[in-house]
Amino acid sequence: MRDDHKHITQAELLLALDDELSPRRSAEVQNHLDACDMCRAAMGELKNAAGDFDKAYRDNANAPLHSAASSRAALQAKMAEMRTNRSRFAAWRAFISGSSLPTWTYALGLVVLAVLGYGLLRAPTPTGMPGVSDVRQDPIIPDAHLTPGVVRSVSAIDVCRPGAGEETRPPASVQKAVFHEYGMDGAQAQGYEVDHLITPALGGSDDIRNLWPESYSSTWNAHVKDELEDRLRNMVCGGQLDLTTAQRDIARNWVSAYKKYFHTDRPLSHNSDFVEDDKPPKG
Amino acid sequence: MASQSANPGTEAAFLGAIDAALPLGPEAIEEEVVLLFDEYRVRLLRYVLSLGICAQDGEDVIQEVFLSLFRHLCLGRSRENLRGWIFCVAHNLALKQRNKNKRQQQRAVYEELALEKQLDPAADPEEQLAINERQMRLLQVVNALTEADRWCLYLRAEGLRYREIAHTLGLSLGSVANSLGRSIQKLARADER
Ligand SMILES: [Zn+2]
Repeated sequence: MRDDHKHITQAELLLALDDELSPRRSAEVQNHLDACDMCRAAMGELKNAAGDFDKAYRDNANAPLHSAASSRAALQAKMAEMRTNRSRFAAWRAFISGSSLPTWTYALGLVVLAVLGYGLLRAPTPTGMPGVSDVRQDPIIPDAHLTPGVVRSVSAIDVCRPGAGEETRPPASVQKAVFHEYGMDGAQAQGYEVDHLITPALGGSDDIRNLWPESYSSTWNAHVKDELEDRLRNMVCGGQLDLTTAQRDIARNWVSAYKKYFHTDRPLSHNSDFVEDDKPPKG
Repeated sequence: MASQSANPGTEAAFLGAIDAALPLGPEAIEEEVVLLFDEYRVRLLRYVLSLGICAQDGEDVIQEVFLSLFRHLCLGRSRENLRGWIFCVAHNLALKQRNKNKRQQQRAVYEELALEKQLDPAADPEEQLAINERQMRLLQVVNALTEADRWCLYLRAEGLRYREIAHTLGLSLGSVANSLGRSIQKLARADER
């Protein structure tokens, strides 16, 4: 329990400064600050240091290369292009489905549609930026045919050695092959990372059948999967779960596994309220 | 969330999703994206350049971020913590670009303080010099931090809440708070000589 009569730690003063405390604690800290010159002074120092850094950071930033207007125009053009591609496609779709024309016209339409569709899917946009063709569902759960999950022959004892199974990035050529098999070449691969389905920390292999492109930005993203991997490894190494079960559950459907082992429907890190913990930051 | 767990999508799925993106049509989403672009462009650009990519790459990254946002919204994906989402995508794209450029040895923008930077004409010269010395000391402290600690500071300086920083960097809230606590205490001690 915190004691109202003790001074506020610097860490908590910063949380108060950044308005990151719970309303109750925030009020307690404010009461203390009203009465304690020392803590008020300490908070002032933190505030100055943080404010001066913010200013140094901004003052020393490079100026943007282009004007906002030209960048905005470029963005608008690309979005318009995506929309136009869509209307062209939709028009063809309407034409084909509502058609009372002779069969050969229909067949021709299909051919044209196929060509157009292929162009949309494959042709890079002139700017080199990904166009409408890059849009696909994030492969949150890997394709079971492409990425069934492959393990090395290791035991729980091997896996639980300190430092065993450090995650390493697959070589560029392998990453490229993974993106390719998922139909995500080039720019389409941006925002994704080639990840192990069964993490090496749980005996997963570097085989391409254990690799898939994982999104950074979806709700069920790579960071959430990391949480699951840590949990499973802790359970395996703590003797609460056998290694094979852990491997099978994560390979079968890691999102279901997350829900099962964390007893939740949503990724915890996304909806938890602020909880103070003493873990050092990763990286 | 249900829409995300479905089978791999296709062109048609996206187009269908665009049609189904009610109540907002793609035109409305486009307008919204432009508004967000205007609001965040400078901050995002500053942040991605602070990760050590060049200005041209930074501009490309920003374009890509907002196109991704356009797709994200057209697909009816979550609007929760959108600012965290935007910074997260920008962060990851910038790091990817930086890895690509590694050979070219891009130099980090904040590793040096440009003394010839335009000075504030209102302040008197002695005061300006003092500001620069102090900034120099602060930036030296920052350069001695780990990269993740620096990122937290930059994102805080861009006005992000801790949960948004956590989302961007894939850290827990506690880790973000600890990192910032440590770093800002170090900054506060930068003047103790
Ligand atoms: Zn006190």
